[in-house]
Amino acid sequence: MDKLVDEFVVPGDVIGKIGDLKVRIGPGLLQSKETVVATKAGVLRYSKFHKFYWIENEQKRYVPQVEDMVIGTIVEKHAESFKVDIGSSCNALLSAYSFEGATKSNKPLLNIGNLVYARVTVANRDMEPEIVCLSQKQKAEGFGQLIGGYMLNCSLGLSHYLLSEDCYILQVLGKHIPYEIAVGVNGRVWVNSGSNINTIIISNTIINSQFIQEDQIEPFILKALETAKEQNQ
Amino acid sequence: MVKKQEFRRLNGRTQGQLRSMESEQSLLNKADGSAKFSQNKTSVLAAVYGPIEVNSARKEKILKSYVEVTFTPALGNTTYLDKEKELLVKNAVESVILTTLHPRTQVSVIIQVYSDDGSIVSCSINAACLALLDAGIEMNGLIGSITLMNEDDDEDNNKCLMIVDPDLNEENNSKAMAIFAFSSNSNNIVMSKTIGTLTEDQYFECLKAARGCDSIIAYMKLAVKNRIMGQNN
Amino acid sequence: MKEVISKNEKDFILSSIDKYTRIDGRSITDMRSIKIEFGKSFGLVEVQLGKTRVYTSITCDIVEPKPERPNEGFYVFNTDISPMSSVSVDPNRGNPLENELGRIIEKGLKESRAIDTESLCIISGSKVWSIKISIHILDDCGNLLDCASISVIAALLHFRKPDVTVIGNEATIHPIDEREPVPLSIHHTPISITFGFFPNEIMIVDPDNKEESVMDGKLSFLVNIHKEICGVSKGGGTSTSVHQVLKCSKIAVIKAAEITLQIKESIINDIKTRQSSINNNKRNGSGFRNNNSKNLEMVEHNK
Repeated sequence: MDKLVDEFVVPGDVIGKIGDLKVRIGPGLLQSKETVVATKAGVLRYSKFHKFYWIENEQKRYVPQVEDMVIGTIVEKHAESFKVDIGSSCNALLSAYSFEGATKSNKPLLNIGNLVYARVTVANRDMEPEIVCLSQKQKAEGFGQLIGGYMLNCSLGLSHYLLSEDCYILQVLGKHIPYEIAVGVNGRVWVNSGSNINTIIISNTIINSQFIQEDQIEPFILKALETAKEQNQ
Repeated sequence: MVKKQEFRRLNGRTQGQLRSMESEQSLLNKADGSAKFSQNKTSVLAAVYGPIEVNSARKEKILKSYVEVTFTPALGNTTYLDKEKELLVKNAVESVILTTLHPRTQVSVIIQVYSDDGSIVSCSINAACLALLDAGIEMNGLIGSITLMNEDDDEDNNKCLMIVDPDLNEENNSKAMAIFAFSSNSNNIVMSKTIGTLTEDQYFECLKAARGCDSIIAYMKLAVKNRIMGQNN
Repeated sequence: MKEVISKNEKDFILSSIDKYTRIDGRSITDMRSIKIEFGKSFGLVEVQLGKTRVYTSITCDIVEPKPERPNEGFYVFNTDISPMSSVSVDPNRGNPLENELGRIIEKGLKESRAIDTESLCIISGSKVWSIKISIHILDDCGNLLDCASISVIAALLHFRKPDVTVIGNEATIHPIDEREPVPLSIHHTPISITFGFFPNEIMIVDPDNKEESVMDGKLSFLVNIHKEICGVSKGGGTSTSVHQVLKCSKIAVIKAAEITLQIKESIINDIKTRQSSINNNKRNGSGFRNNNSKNLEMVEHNK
């Protein structure tokens, strides 16, 4: 299965045979009898640590997966639960008790239109997805309502890139502007900073990062900051 | 055989020569996937949304996703002829989409004709395939389509000239037309539609000539590869 | 399926506009960039206003005029908001916005006499031109009206109808490849400029889809290059002071002049490239591209 890693594949391409090796296959791959076939066009990736194969592409529509961290907008409010739009085909269910310290008398104060950062716990093709605002240790740890700031939409590929450890854009941005960020793998990025102008600069840098060279990013930010300063005066 | 090679059509192409192809992907911002596919003056834009919520409950399928195709001509309102094209495209793309992976959802394919200069159904199917690849919809293979036609020859009925990828002028004096769609994974016919009268031999001859479709599929692979790999590099 | 916009985004847009800044970095009187592309035949135009995309195609037919108006041809407008423009468009249901858009553009052109139906007459009482204009909304990222209006004007200016010679009661139509086709007679070009209104008497030019979802009201001006207002449309929303409307009209006049120039420039460029390609073909001795090799030409545009 290794010979096609980091290569471009299209739907119908046979990736390899399932041997005795234990491997996990993710988005874009399908097992048909003995073989593994690609179902999406993209680059085949392999994570040695997780023994995990998947196909990376520039998709926009999100399909929920367990343990994904997503940003959702509350669209319905019920007595003990919320319906949250996470960009998938079906709205996700968020229980009012799946917040740290939430009890029957102490429910989170969330309204329609609020943003939450959550973790997917149920993702089944026949059921509606379920999300919680708790980490695996049942603590908040950053999950919960996102207050203020601005949310931008991007491709799923870009949101995965932003979450990678060696993400260059976020490091460069951090050098010049202090900011807060939450990245949902459903192609949504929430940013907040001291002023609206800075938030706008950050969101525009992230959106445009797909189209500019890496070494052009820093000048881009500096130029934006300078024009913002001029406008203020 | 030599004579056949020398034959040139009114538009200067040889018998089995396809028009030059052009494509552009991800050109729409809102759609999950989009592609523009042109064969010289025939030009089609296809957009894909999916998997999304089914827009009316009675279309919902419990075990698979519902594929909806909308075909809009360049001019005026949709007529029954456009509905027929819609159905042809739908049948063709539905066979390559892995609909069972996302039950109770919908995959919408929307086709907008820019300009029609013959072989419009084939062009639409090809554009739809590129848009589906761009949207990251799970498929079991690529689909390519080709139109062939038998030129009307009053003098000699036995001598029927079969040409590939006719333009509108040629289509207007056609005796018979055949539209084929092939799937890349098994090289089998997915859709075959004939208009007018063909003898059995002629039909099989058409089928043989329709292998020119391989070059369309090869083109599509290259186009998607350039887009995805080009961005990574 | 509906598109959802969060409260955070709404609040952010409102507070930014309060400080005269916008989410895409524009100033409040900036329009998004306009890109005009022409198809391979006359009268096929795709216009992008930022990410909003509208495609307009024009064709013509010869028909019989109405008996009560024997000297008048027809301009037929057809607006279609394609389901590809947004998830929330349901192809099986009519869209009231469709009619509204088409109406504003059609009335702006007809009632200001920018286009006249009399010039479409070939033989009085028996043959007139019918010009069909199809507007297709392909990508809805806000301010559809302005984008559609630009694309209609560009398409009308770009369109060429076959030349006709009339001898007595006989009309001969010369196909486009035989004789140079003729443009339509367009007297002036009203272009729509839309303003969005926000609290504290702030207004912005060319609102995008997120701004549209939070603004209090909007106002569209149809202005031509002679600084004449050919139509004003304000469909409800918050009440606006007269002073503000006057301010808008001043901005609209400037913007419309800029856009008209851009349209005309792009048409001149397109006609030039068309002519040079025809000349090249003539020099090569044939009217078509002669590909001897069976190899496919692969042209790829990457975004």
